[in-house]
Amino acid sequence: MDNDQITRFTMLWTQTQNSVLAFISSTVRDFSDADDVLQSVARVAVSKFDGFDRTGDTQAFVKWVITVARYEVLAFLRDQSRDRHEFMSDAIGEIAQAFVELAPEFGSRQHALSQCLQKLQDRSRDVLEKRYAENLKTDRIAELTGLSPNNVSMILNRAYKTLRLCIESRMTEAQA
Amino acid sequence: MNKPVDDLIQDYLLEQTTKDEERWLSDWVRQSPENARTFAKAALMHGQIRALLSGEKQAHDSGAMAVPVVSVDSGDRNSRLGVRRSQRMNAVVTATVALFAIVGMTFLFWNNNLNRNGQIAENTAGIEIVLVAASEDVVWQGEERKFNTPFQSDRLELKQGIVTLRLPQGVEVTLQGPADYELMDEDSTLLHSGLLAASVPPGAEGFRVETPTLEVIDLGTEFGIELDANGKATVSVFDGEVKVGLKDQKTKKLLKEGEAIQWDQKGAIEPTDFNPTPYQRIWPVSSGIEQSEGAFRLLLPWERRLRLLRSNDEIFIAPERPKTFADSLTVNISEAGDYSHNDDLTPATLESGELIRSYIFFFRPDKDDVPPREKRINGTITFQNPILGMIVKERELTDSAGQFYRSRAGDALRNRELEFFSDPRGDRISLSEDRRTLSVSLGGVSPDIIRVVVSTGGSQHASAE
Repeated sequence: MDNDQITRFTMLWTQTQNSVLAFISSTVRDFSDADDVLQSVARVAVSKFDGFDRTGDTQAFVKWVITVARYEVLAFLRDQSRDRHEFMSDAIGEIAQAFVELAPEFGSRQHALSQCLQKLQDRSRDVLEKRYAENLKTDRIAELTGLSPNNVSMILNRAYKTLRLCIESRMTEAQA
Repeated sequence: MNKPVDDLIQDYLLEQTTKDEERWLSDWVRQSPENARTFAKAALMHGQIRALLSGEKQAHDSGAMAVPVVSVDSGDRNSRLGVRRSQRMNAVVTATVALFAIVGMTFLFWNNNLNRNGQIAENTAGIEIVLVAASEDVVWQGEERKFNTPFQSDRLELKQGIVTLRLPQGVEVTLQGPADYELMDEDSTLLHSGLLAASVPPGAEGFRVETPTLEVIDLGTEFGIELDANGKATVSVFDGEVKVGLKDQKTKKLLKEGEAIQWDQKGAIEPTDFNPTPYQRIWPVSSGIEQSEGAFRLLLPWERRLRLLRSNDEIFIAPERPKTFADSLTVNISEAGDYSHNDDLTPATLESGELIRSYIFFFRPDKDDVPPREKRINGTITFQNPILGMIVKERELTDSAGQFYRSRAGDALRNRELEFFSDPRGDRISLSEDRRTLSVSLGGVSPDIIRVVVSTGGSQHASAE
């Protein structure tokens, strides 16, 4: 790639990498595994970027890189020595399409989320950080906080619900 | 599938689903683009949460600019991908990584308005609580709390005294100091130490109180927890049922009214004698009654089997759990004044939707020791909040019984209405102008019931019939 392509790829990738990771994580739920798959997607995307339409916009890039990610996810799941079927991989085509359709909202949703995270209570925020920033499982979070695992799950579920409603509310306000 | 789809999606993303649930979810996603979109929004949110919180943590830990998520290495997967590891490619990759670092940092900082060292625009500290009652000897650790003024807190420390707090959903928690109580969520709390009694209205079932080792889940009840300085915990159920068990164990024991368990440092949960003595001071404070004199006697939660109560000299008061009516309620008395005739009654309809408290006033003479005809039973009682209305006639008493918690008192309520006729045996009641003080003078021969409906501090509208 020439420097212009590098710059363009970097800009496009930076705008979409979190959402690509979210797509990957919808079927590869372990954070470390999802990161590995993301690296694979980045490598493939870099190597094949020459073939991506130079005039393509962010939406087109998302569609293209999600397709790359879709196949990397399926390859990862196939290569894993698992004794059970990942049912959600059967729906990966539909999930990929939904992510492509959501692409125009990636930035605004993340912006809304960052504002909504500020509305969370300290306890909820603490549990979310342990789950997502420190990659701790429910039982370990329970040990560290003195809560029961059931309580940790409940706090996470309530936080998700709060965030989801807050995001949708802000998205609706923005569109009004 | 009984679980709501949104909950199922969250459980799936947290790796907490069974294979059957995953199969169902996969089929559901594939059913329609709308379903797939719903799932994608949830997965997107999870991914973005991770990106935001991970980036913030990295910035905090390093004290420098965050490194973006993606890094490129030359691990074994390269051979699987068939990527030629030429020097040119490595240079491209290296340059790309460098550009990622620069652009990624910019991106993260542009989006990062979560600097914990900065000012947070809105108040995010804690759950909204209202102090509704307190003993005179209350001493708080830290800020004093005002009556009926909502405040936000996630941890309360009471040095001494007794306070009653109303939480979201109408749950009332009474603490006797010294006590240390933390609120993690509107229905999930932690007692670090002290004595606690909780009254949970219908609709708020599932309210939890934990101690460092135990978890108590309310199933619609009044219960108490005593946690002493040595870590010994006693859970007592005054009304209804709870589930109780060790926090790290899924199996919980069902505890019913009049039962108690104890946990000590040895680690076992054992049944113990039901002993309400530690809670004797709490109930009068949490009852909503400011003062009373004369024949009134407040029943404690474990004394409220109305069918068993008889006395020639006492009018028993049985508080019922706070509740919000789904339907409107017809009362016989809605205005201040004196009532000694049926013509004096001021019937009205209380509209639904507000949280109220109610009390049964219950007089039932001893059938084996019939008092003289001229005997009268008198008492005056003042509530902390205004009386919204009173039900004193049999028809309205039985019609409304199902709306109140103490519906099992229905049978005991029959043929118990007040009798307003002008002779020495007639019943008389007076409601003060401020609607907080009720005076009763009952004929001492026949049983009587009054259901008193009291405001909790919110507004309630009565429309006259």
